[in-house]
Amino acid sequence: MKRIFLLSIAAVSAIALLGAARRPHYGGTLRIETNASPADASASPFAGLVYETLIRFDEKGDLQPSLAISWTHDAARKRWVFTPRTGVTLHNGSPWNPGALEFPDDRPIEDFARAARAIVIHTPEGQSMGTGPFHVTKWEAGKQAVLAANDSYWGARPFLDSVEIQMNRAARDQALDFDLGKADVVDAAPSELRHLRQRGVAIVSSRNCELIALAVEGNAGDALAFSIDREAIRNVILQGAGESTGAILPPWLTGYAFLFPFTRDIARARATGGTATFSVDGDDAILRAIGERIVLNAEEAGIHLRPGTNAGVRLMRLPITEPNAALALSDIADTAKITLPPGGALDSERSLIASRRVIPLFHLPLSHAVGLRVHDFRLGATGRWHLEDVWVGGEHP
Amino acid sequence: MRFRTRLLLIFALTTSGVVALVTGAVSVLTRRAFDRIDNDRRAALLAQFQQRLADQGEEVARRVERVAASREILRIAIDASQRSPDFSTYFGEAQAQAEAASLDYLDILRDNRTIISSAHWPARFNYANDWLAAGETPPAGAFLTRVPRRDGADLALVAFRTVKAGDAAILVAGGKRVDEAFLESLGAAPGIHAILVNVDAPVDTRLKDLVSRVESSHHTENAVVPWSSAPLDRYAVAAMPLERAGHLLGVLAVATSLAEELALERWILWVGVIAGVSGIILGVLTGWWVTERVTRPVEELARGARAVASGDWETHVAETSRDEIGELARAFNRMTEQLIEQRERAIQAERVAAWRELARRLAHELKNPLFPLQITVENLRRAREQTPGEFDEVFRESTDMLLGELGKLRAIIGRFSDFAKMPQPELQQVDANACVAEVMRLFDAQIREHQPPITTELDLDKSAPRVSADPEQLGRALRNLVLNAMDAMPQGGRLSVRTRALDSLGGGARIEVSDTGQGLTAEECSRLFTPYYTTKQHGTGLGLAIVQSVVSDHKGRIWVESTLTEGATFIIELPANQKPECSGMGPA
Repeated sequence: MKRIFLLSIAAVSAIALLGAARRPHYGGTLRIETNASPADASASPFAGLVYETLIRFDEKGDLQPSLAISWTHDAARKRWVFTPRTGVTLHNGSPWNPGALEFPDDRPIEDFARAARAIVIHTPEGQSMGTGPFHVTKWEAGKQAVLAANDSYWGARPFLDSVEIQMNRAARDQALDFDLGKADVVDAAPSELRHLRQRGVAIVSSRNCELIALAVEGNAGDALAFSIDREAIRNVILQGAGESTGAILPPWLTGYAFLFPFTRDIARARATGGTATFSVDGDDAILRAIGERIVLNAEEAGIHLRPGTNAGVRLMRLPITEPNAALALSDIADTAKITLPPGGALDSERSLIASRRVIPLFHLPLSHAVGLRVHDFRLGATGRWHLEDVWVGGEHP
Repeated sequence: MRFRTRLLLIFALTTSGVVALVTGAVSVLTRRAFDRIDNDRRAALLAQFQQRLADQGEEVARRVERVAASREILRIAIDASQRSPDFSTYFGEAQAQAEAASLDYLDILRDNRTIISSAHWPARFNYANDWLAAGETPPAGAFLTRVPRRDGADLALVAFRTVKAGDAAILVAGGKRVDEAFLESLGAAPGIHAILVNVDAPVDTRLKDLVSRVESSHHTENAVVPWSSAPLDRYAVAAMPLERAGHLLGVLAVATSLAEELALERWILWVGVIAGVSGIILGVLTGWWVTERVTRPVEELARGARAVASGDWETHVAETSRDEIGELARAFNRMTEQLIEQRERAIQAERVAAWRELARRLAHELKNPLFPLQITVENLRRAREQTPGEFDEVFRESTDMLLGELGKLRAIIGRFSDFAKMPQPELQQVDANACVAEVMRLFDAQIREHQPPITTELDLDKSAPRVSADPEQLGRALRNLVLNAMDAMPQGGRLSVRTRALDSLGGGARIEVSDTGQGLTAEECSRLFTPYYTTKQHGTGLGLAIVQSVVSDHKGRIWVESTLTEGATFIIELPANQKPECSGMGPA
């Protein structure tokens, strides 16, 4: 009887310990390795961690309060007037008391939700301070960043004490460090997702927030658009990740992507034919493989794509940084160095696609492989890291 | 060209010819030796390439065999046997297998040869592998082919293996690149370059022609190719076609540098030139020395011969050697000695003959008056026996006769005396035409009175220059000739006297006196100027001898041209200015 009692106590203790290990708790350091190399901590995927905007987009793309709890026009409807949140402190502990927050009404209200519009306080000592859940303790551009929890964050203090981020890290090194337990979160390329899942690795993905497309100058666009076998590329090179598309913006963002279907029509492509210079932006293995396949598809259709710089046809990754159609389209146009036609998002996108200046190919998510000791790691719709609720346990992969 | 110059030239030409011949022969032999060595080296490298290709082919086949035998490939084969196989998961499989097997190219193919996965060109999935011609069965071993890649095609050794799973089958096609690195593994000797020419790509302009020839002939071709603008940077290149099933895949060019050969040839040429120049100089010097030794006695002989020709029969050449030249010198000296002896003998004989002639003439001349003298004296002796009157008459007639005959004797003796006392000419510038005209005037009356008549023809050349002569002696000579001509025409005829300007004798005048008499025989012509020789019944034989003496004293010459029965012409040539050393013109 005594033996049974002791065994029962041991079992209860073990269950209690196990339960404790699965409950969020403060402390620990999250180690992230990524190929990304943002210029500063306000840009994606850091956006929102250190510097916050007055208002923000939620996952559906709706505006939500952030450092401002409300906003409205002034009486003359010429200025935006924001009501600042009270009890917000800066990373040095001093209160954030901006006074009246009024801005000319020369842009849509959504623009105030851009990461680029985050509130950054520059001290006379030359430091930059924000109000976010983390503050920067070390920043080596393009190499390494260390974030520490903001104890006086106006929201809840993050569970993590710190976050160590290795930037501009090669995919092979990331994979090695992840397997050796030296990294908790690493990038997961779309082509690797199937393999990682087969290995039982936890994958966290954003929505499809990256457009792979051809930016075209000249008249080769029409033939090219009909020559590319998107599905073969997605199935084989992208290993089924993402979606083939004929639209610039993903359906989750606009709901009208079905208006831009795509088809492969070799005969039609052959009827046009042509020659163009072709380049792949960046040193990206997947993009290179897709580029080679596009060259083969084009060759099959009688279109000769010659490699060259300042090419007429460029294969590009175009990130969708904001969950807002107009802003996303504007960002894509800026990145692709294309003039955005006037009008609403739908009209502009339709004009761009019709002109063949942009040939959308795939929408891809941003994905990360997450180690076993990391809990509640979440990505925003556009791939931003949400580390406020992340906590780490003692497990090792 | 002088004999010595000719000899020198022969020496120089012979020496330079021999040097050129030797240099050329050495160059040709050297080039042939180098060519042979280079050919051997190139052939060895080509053979080595073939052997290495065979070895590499076996290695490629083994590696492809290993890949085909792997579990991963078997799994793909098993998937292929499914109803709707999904090969997308094998997108990177070929790359992994190629890395593991150290293959440059690897395609995993469906049985219809469409690509499931490609190591070297991953994006080519679902496209057809074209390492073999359509419908061609893969050979059992490795073979050469062109493997297409993103920006062209590589020459490669490839092998195919089939992997079966049930009724389904897949193919594994792998290979190794045959490129410059492969050629480097051959370990060519320094100075030899092995170059793999891709016939589908732009060909090195230096090899373009050679490659074109190989493409046409499908055989190994050789050529010498300038490698750069440097003059010695030339290569001998052997280009071997690399082909399969009659299709040219590439060209292997083995090039051996000719720099050493060309440098050696140039060195030989320079040595040849230096040796040639030295040889020519040495040859000239030696030739000069030899010809000097050889030609000196010859030239001395020539000088001696010229001296003899000019009348110096006392000439004696040195007998310096015992060879043919020495023998020639000795013969020459003997000849001159014999000539002198013969001349002495001839002179002696001439003197004897002259004396005999003189004696004969004297006897003849003196005998004629002596006979009347004898008769007259005998008449006087007999007349003493007659009456004084008769005796006086006989005495008077006899003394007249004696005085007449003695006068004749005195005249005869006077002519002989005149001939013996020919004075030295007192030279002055004389107009030959004037002299001739003066003489003809003297004979004018005599000729007019001559019966049968003699006509005269005077042909004077106004351009005839003045001659250096004693006018008295010249006139005397001309008178003798005119008189002689008149004597030659007792039956009458034509007497012609002509003057002409002379080109020879350094300028001068020529005087011709012709008659239309009986003419002279050749013997008479040769003896005509001999003193006391005459063809006339009453001549003394001194007239023409005096003429010859005068002409000779004037450094001129005289001869006679005659045809029997057609008359004779006496020709005198006199120099404008007397030069005793007048070459080639001996006195008459």
